Amino acid sequence: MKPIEYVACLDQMYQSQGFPPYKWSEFDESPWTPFEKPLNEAKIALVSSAGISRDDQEAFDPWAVNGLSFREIPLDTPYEKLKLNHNYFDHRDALKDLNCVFPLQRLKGLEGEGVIGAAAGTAISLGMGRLYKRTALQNETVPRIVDVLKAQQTDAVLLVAA
Amino acid sequence: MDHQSVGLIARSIEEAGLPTVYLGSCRDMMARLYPPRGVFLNFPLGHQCGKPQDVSLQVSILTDTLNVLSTATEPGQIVDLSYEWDEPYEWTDYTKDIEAMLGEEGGMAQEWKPKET
Repeated sequence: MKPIEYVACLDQMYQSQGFPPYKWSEFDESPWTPFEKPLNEAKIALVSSAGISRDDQEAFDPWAVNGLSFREIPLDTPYEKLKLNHNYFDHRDALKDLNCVFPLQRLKGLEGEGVIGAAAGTAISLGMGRLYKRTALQNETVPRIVDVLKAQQTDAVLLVAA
Repeated sequence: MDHQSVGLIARSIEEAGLPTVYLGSCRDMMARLYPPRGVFLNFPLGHQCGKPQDVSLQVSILTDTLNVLSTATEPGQIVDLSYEWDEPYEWTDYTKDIEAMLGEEGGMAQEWKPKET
């Protein structure tokens, strides 16, 4: 397959439905924190936007708009206790195997094989959907996520977009 | 649009002092965000870490992704993974798949108007 031009296609789809043009975020430089530990000694935390929650947590809105909350998912949660609520992508394969978008079991496996030092005990899932409140995401939600990550001595973060 | 939001999250986490690596499947959206360390897998959305039940593929995609933490030398690079989706797949397949999924699951189509929050 050829890479899909999602920005152009989404713009066309939403504007044809009468939405005003969306102003996409654009940057031309990146922040940088050096990764100094060998990978096989580092504790890696998972952050996924696939709309995953535990059955005792509030589920995400599958058609979220400005979803700014997150769920903490303990690493040892059995997959049958997890739910996925996200309709912006075809999630049928992910429901057969959540590792497609929320690779907790694979991360545990990589710890077992010694590829990474450890998988952090708590993973983070979000379900943001169409996001207009970017400042709130960066200034309110992310600092709370960072607190969770730092409290468990995370060395680096694997982000998976859904 | 989550690919934009996750890019913003990656930038903010990195600014807070934790190194990040960002695995995604919308290259154009990722590139605009300049995530500190990006990894692109050219698979249909919903398979960002591989195909269901294919443990070895998933392990290998994730290992390649995590290695970028160590190999990236400058901010803002996107590494293109070489795995190939073995069937043609384009935008119209993406929208058709979502329709088929909603039909199968009895899910509602998206409301026209953004909800007030």
